[in-house]
Amino acid sequence: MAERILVVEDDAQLGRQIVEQLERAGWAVKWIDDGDVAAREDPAPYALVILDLMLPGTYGLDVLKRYRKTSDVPVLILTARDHPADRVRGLELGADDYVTKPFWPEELVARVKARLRRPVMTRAEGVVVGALRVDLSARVAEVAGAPVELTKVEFDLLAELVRRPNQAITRDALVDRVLDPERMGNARTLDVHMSRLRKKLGVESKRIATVWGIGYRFDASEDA
Amino acid sequence: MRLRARLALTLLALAVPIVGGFALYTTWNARRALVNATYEATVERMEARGREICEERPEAFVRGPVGRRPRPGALGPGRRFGRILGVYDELYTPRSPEFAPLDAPLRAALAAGESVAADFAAARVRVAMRMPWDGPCSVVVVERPLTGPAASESALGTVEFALSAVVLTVLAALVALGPVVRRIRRLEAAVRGQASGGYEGDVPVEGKDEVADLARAFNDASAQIRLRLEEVSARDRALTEFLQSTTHDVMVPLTVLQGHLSELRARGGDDEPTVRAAMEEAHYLGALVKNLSAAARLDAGEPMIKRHELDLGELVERVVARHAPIAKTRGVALNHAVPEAPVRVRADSTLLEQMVGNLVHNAIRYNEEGGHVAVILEPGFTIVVKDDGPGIPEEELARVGEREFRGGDARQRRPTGLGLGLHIVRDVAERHGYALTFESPEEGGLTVTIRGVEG
Repeated sequence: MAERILVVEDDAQLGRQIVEQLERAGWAVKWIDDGDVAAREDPAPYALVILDLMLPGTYGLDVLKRYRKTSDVPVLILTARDHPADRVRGLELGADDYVTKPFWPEELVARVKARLRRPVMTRAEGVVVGALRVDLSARVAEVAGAPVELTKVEFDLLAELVRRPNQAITRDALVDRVLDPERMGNARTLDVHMSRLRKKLGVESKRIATVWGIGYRFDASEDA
Repeated sequence: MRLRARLALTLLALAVPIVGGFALYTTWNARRALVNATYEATVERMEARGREICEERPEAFVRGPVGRRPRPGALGPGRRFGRILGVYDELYTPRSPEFAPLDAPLRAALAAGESVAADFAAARVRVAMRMPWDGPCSVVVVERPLTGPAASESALGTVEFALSAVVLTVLAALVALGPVVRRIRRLEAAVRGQASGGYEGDVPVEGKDEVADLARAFNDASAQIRLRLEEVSARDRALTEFLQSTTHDVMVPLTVLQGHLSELRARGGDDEPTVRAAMEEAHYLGALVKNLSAAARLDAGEPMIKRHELDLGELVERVVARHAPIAKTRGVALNHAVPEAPVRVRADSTLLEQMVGNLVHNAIRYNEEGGHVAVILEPGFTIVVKDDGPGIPEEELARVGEREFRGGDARQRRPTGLGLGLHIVRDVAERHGYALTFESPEEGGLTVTIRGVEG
């Protein structure tokens, strides 16, 4: 069953849009456009609350305070005020995140996803994605069940990327963490190791993306 | 020059000539009186007996008791009065060979028609006098010591005395000035305190003199300033509130507009350049309104800037998430890298987000399809925003961030709004004490680096 999201937004057009966008992304949405009504709503059945701070009747932060008395439901604040006071107070009162207007629907959906995302795997142990399996504690990498022979540096490199999937990591950071400082490793040495690692990963080499201006990223999406 | 020094110098400048002039006058007057008295006494004594003796028995006159042994009714002046140096005829021939010839200056003065001529030395005076008769004893020269006020020493003494009086007066004036100077200092401190305290309250008014008048004038002036300040700040508040509510009023429909545009693109308008252009403009409008609001806060200064703890990694991710849709629309790859551990700073999150956002937005906006933008946060901390767009020519790099700056061929590459956006970048960095550098690397593009201190 789809997770339920409560949207508290006083602007009719914006409210309707947000509801449509969230529904299209696969969530079940309830929309309340009045602060007092929202304050009486029980947040318990919802996986997440999107709360606009500029509500008539009740100040948005009061609604947040009310919810926090009984519930730990993630609350994402919408604000148009260009002043940090709202955000700071919101976060102090227990909001989990905020989005400032104007925003693109993609941005809102991404924020909601980030809040609702469940950890797919324990990153400390490793990763199983596509044909690739990396076991960090046993220091083993397999592609389609066949072990891949990796040097220490190559495995460390893979481990660094796998530990933070879908995040770009700078060459400098990788040089720092993987290469032996005694042997004067630099970005060029790193690229050489990386090209060998990719060759050895075969069909799964595409999971290690080169990121312009930064370094490398391990792509952990299933359809990659 | 300080008040005391000025007063002392003025007093000295005034008093020294006056005292000197007075002393000279006194001496001169005394000497004139002395010469006159000598003349009168000499004429009187010569008339009594001197002329007769001189004419008939000059030897006796010379050897006589004129100067050496004075007695009542003697020929010449007494010792106290002086002694006769010589007697001459009309042509200045000495009456007796014992008399020295008449001094040239005295002779010249008498020849010029003066009846009396005097030659002053340090302690004595020689007076040459033409008697009111002719004959072998018609010119008499008397020498007498200078005493009393006519003496040079006395003149010097007068000057010394007067000068010490002047010095004492100056000292007295300086001492008397002390309390006045102290009051002026207190007033100065009060006025400075008032100015730094936003002209709140009055400076104390002491006494009823000019210093008190000055204090009252300051109070009147600061009352005027307070009034103006209140007017200005009231106008400022109204403007800020107006801007805040306008911002809010603009942001909501802008969000709705962005939603509609996004919907249009989703329905297959992705290939439609109009939709893409409209999306870019909508995004730009939002950035512009935020920049105006940020500029208003920056102009209002310190009280409007709020610092609180925030994680720069989160901030960078937020900025990237905000610009990801527009980067995708433009076909520009936008990536970022942040360290695993949070990078905590105390800063104004809105302004900082606007600063990084402006750099990212510019990097996307002036890039071409297929271009790249990377945002890198490193602990310490450093934020780097780099792109492979057209960059900025070397000679213009230094001027980036001036409010009016738009770059040379701005119309093609860096159109409207760049000036304000980069100005805010510069301003926010300055307010937070971050170092900001713009570089155009050899391989092209623009690299902007923000360096600050973590914590």
